[in-house]
Amino acid sequence: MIDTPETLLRQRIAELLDDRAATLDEPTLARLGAARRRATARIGWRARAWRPLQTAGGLAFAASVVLGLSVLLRAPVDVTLQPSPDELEALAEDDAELFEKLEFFRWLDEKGQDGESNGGSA
Amino acid sequence: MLALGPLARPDGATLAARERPAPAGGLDGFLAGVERRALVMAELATRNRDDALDLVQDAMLSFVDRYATHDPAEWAPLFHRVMQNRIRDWARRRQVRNRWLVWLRDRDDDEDGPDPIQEAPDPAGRTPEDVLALGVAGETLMAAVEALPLRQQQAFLLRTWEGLDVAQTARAMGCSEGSVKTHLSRAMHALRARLEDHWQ
Repeated sequence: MIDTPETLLRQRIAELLDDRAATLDEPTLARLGAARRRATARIGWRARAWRPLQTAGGLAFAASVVLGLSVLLRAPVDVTLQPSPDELEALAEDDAELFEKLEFFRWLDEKGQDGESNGGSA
Repeated sequence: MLALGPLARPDGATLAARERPAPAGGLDGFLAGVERRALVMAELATRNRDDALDLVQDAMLSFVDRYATHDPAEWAPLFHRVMQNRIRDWARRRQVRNRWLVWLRDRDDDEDGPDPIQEAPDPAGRTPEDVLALGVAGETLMAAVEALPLRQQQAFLLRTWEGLDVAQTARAMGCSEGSVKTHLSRAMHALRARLEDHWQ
């Protein structure tokens, strides 16, 4: 196959460009290398920059899951739950002083209820 | 008269893309393999080494940010695309700056044209006659390539030097395959016209 003048011209220019690329001076090569290292360092930097955000995101997600579950699974708490007088009496059986106090408070309670009923009817 | 035979090189090697080995050494190895050629292409467009180095660095940073996680087999065409975009952006900024300078100097140059980038004048202000007057064969050829309008120069370098096919060149340049063929045809016509007296 015979090369046309155009093909030869293109080959010649390609060879000259190859030569130019192969004979760059040292300061230029150093600057190219520095630019390359700066670019490739971004990969590690980007990964490191994302890591704390990923950790924080994971923690936030876990906290939201725990909070959601606690809201969903929390049983209603009866804050008015109190021991009955019989239960108190059973607890105080072995303590005469506590039993006397209990009797006194029971009397006060009955007295108060009587007063309220008398006052209410008056 | 130009000597169009093979150029003697110490190592007898060529750095053409089609003969370059597959990327080895990861991203760093890939960039190390393309950085010199990228600089030469940028320098042909800008005629300024500092500007060319800035463009290569910008292209590397942008390439790493966008495409580092892509398949290494796609790195070369993607890098070409980023690099050519950077060069084209540089040409546009320069053109805007030149317009302002022209306006500030109150000149009446007519800069309207069908494709301002393609028709961008030689930043060094050289005419084809100046290029021919350089005399030395290698320098004359390089000067003729430098004097090509940007789009023609991109098409010529990507097709002739990087060994990309028409479709790959079109992707790298962000234009149609038909435009690539047109740019390349005009580039060859311009080179032949400029080198006519030397090319016997």
